[in-house]
Amino acid sequence: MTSISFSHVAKNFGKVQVIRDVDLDIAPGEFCVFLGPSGCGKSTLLRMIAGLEAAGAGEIRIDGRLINNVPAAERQVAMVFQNYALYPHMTVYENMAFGLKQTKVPGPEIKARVAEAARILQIEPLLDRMPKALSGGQRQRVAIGRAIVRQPKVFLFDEPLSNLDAALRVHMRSEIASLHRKFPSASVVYVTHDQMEAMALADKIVLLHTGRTAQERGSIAQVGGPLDLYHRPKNRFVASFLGSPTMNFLTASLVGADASGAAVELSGGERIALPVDARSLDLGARLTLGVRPEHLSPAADATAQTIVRPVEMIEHFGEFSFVYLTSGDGTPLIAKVQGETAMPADKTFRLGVPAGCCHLFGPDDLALPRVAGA
Amino acid sequence: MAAFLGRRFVLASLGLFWLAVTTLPFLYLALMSLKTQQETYSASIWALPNSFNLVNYEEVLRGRFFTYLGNSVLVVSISVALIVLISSMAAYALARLKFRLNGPLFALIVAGMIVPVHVTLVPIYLLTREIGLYDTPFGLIGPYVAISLPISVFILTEFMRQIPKELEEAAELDNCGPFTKFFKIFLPLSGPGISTVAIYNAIQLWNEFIFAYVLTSSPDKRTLPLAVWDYQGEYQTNIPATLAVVTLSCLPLIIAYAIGQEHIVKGMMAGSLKG
Ligand SMILES: Nc1ncnc2c1ncn2[C@@H]1O[C@H](COP(=O)(O)OP(=O)(O)OP(=O)(O)O)[C@@H](O)[C@H]1O
Ligand SMILES: [Mg+2]
Repeated sequence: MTSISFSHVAKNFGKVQVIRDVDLDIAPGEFCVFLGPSGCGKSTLLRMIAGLEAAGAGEIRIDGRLINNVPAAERQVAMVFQNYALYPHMTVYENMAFGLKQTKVPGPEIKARVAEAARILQIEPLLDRMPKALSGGQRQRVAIGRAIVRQPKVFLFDEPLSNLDAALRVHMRSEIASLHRKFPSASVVYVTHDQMEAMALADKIVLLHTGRTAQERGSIAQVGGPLDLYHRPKNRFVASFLGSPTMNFLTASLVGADASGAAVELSGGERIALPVDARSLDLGARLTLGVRPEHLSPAADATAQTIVRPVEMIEHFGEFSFVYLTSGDGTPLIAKVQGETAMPADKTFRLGVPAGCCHLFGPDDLALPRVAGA
Repeated sequence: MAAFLGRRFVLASLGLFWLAVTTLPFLYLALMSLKTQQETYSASIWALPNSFNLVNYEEVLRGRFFTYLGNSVLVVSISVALIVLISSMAAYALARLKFRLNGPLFALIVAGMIVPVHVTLVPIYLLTREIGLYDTPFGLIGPYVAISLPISVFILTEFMRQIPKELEEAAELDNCGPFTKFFKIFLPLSGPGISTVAIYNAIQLWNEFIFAYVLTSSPDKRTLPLAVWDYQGEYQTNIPATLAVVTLSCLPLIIAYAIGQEHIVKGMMAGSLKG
């Protein structure tokens, strides 16, 4: 069983610091996804595990062994590259066998391992083909096969599905998940900027951010299970990155705070109560109320807390509709409503705002803590 | 449609024109080599030979032609092998290794392309005498390799820069050191670039005259381009025999081209490694 740990890892390219203060533990057999916007350093972090990029500072350990100075080939990791990186002058078989030959694995064992991997990935008929005679999905399988035959302790994937079309991507995603179940002792580190992929595959998501906040708080925005990040984002960046359409943010000012929760007033004058501990802030503080489009629903009963907003436009998708509204202060607001919704006669919508699904972000964009038991 | 046809017509005419420019001199050469010495002086130089007369070829082949041919093959093949080996290794280092003088070194090597060979003749002549290689075919190999390296390194470095970085990284994870990476990945993938370099240099060196002339003196040590010397006396020149020997020296290149044409064209258009 293999674990990977980072402590205080940083990386500079020239004067630019792309990775800052990364502390992270990946448990044995865990499927860990690095998620984040383009340029945030996901690939760089992955390549540091692979040994293709030196860690600028800090320590990286695999199974407790410090690997900062261990050559790539000795780390017992296997990597699947975004563009597959199959050797164009070798057949599929040779591509998969090459690494084993280089590490002096005996011939019969190479044959057996390649055959086994080809069987698992259903690429047996392709073994004699050259990579250029393969489709994108087939190349992807070969690249994964090349990783499997090495029987690595850690699988590294750098956006392996981004060159495939949408349907194939979903299919390969489920194959990668089932592959992970077939090799339960190997850890997987998987880079993507697609949140659906991350949510579907991950045991643990490491969401990275970039820019000024990364400089102040380190590269990691939040680490946790997919639903942790979805339900309990630690800051506004995490809240806005996960979920589609993205979370609505409304300006609010604090009008009440005690041990059982807080109350805020929106620009339209509505009061919203939510189970968040805001006692550290002064009354009147300018805050941001976050609520996901899928949690806003047409209000059924008058007792629920609601907001009323004019409707700009409705998009219908059959299963659900997106209702685009405007707030008094001009910020757009989207509600994702189940089923079909007709444009109301007065062109306004009354939406229920469930207290438990609201998030409150302080002036520093950090989420305020939930009250105990909420 | 008319415009399309018009364009095709222009292209075809240009092609035919170029074909004429390149083949007519050779045809003229080959035809003249069939004349007798008598005919060359009596008839117009544009006249066709009176008969299909191989007397000049007989004379050439009875002479030292095969000695020259052997020397040429020896010198050119060893030189080209060395050029390919040295320039591909240098190109790999320049294209992929990170070291401090990489840029300046590349610039220096490429600058070698602008040195005219003639200014190097005298020093190379003296040096060759000094180390005892004067008047041997082997004395030609050093200068041949040296004058060919700059362009070869240039071509191959550009070529190897195109090889995707991920392939190299995949090889690193597959336990390849720098030498394995070079021989198992870069060399095979540079195939088209290497054939370009090999063919280009083989043609250049096959026809090389000035070093061969300066660095050898006895007839049995000389290469094909110097064969014409045998038919140029102090008082008279056997023109058709000279042309016959020139035709014969072109022949190996033409045959090689006919056989390897597909490769050569691919090599010249090299650079794309897609797929
Ligand atoms: N070799 C390098 N030299 C200089 N800067 C680099 C180098 N490699 C990466 N960078 C920079 O480091 C930052 C992080 O790059 P990285 O490739 O890790 O991003 P990423 O999160 O994988 O992005 P993407 O989703 O676009 O692949 C980027 O700003 C990039 O410009
Ligand atoms: Mg990347």
